[in-house]
Amino acid sequence: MLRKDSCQKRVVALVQSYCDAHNKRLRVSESTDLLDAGFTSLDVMELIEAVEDEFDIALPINDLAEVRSVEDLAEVALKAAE
Amino acid sequence: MSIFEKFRAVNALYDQLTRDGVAPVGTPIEHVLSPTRGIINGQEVILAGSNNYLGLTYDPDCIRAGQKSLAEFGTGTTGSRLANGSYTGHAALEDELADAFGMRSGIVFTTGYQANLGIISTLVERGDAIVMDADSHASIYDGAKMSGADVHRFRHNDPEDLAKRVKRLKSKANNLLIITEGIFSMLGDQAPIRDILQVKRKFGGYLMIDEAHSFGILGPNGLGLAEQEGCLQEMDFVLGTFSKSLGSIGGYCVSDHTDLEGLRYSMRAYMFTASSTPTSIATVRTALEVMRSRPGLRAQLKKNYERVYASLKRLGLVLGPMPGPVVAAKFDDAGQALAAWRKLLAEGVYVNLVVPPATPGQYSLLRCSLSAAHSDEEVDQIIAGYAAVV
Repeated sequence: MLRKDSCQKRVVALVQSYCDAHNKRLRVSESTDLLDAGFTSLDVMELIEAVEDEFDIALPINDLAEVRSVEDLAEVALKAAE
Repeated sequence: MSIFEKFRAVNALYDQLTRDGVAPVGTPIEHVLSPTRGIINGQEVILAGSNNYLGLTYDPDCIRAGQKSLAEFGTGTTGSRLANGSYTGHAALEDELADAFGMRSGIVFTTGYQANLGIISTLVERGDAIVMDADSHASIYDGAKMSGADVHRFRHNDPEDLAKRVKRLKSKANNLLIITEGIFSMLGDQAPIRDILQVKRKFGGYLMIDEAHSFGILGPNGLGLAEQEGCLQEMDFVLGTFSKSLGSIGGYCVSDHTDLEGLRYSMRAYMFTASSTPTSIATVRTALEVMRSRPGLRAQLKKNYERVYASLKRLGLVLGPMPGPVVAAKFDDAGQALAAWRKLLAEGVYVNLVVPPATPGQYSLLRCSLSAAHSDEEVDQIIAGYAAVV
C-alpha cells in the first residue's frame, strides 16, 4: 500500500530530476506550482508519464487539468495506485 | 482581465519572430508560379515547404477535371452531405479509395484534420482507452480529447513502451484504440508499424494509422507505410489527407470493418460541416489515378529527398533519424533557427520554421519538404542554400 508521504517524496524527487534534465533551475517541493514555475502542458504530460513508470500505474493525460502543483501530481498518482 | 489576456504570450512570440522581416509563420506568398516556385517578398523562390510531395497542384489532368466539375456542379455544395444531399462524385471517390486500399468501407471528409477529429472522437468513448504515439499530430490529440476516453501516450516510435502502457491498462478499458502515423510530419521518420502491430496482436484492441505524410509516397501503390510493410490488411483504420500528395484538400478513412459506415450518422465533424467542393473531389479523383498510374513520381521524390538528406548531413546539420519527404534540421536555439530561415529565404529557398511547442522536443526546426516536381537544378539550389547558412 502506497503511503501519501512516501508518494509525495518520490514525486518531488521525480520532478526535481526532470527539472535538472531540462535545465529548469528550480528547488522542487510539494507546494511547487508547476504552472507558475513555467511548466508547459507538454512538460506536465511528460511528468505524468514519468510518474506512471515510477509507480507502475496507468494515468491518463486527461488528468492533466487536475494537476497544478507537485502535490496534485502526487494525489493523482496515489488515487491511481489505490 | 481581458478575454484576450491568455493570448499575450503567443502573440509576443509571433511579434518577436516577425519583427525583423518576412513572417516565418503564415509567410505571405504573393504568387505561386508552379508546384515548386513562388514569389515571397517580391523575390522568386523555390518552394520547399509546401508538402506538395508529388507536385500535382498544376497537373494538367487534375486542373482540367477541376475546371469541368466547377462548370458542371458549381462552386460549392453549400452544406453537409446528410442535410443537403450527397453528390455522385463524393460517393464515387469513397468507392475508389476503398477499392484502392482493398477495404470494404471508406468515408471522405472536408479536411484531413476533420477526418481524425470525426473518427477518433466518435469511435471511442468514456470507459475506452486510447494509447497514441507522443509525437502525434494535433488533430489526433484533439480527437482523443473530445472522445471522453482515457488518453495515454507512448514514447515516440517505441513499441516496447507501447506494450508496457497497454499492459498496465489490463482490462480497465472496454475498448483499446492504438494510434500511430505512417511518416511523422515534423521529423519525417516512419513508425515501426510491424512491431506496433505485434503489440495489438498480443493485447488486442484496434490499430489506427494516419498516413497523411506517407500516402502517395510509400508502398508499391503509394498507399502508405502499412502497404510498404506488407501489413495494410491488418490495419483496422487507415486515415489520410488529400492536401499533400494529391495536391487538393480533404481527408479520408478506410476500413475493412463495414460498421464504419454507421459512423456517418454520429460524427459531428462530418455531420455539421459543409462537404468538399465538387472541384476538390474532381481533382482528388484524378490525382488518385495519376498517383496510381505514375509510380515514377514516387521514385523521383525518393531520389530528391535522399540527395537532400545526404547532403545536409554532410554539411553537419543535425537531422531527423531517416531520409523522408520531410528533411528537418534541428537547432537548439530558436533565434539561430530564425536567422538561418531568413538567410535561406534570401538565398531563394522557402522552407518551414517550426519552434516549440509545435516541435516534438525543446528544439526548433528548419523543415524542408521535397517534391517530385523539384528539378535536379532546384535540388542543387536547395542544398546550396543550406550550405550558405551553416
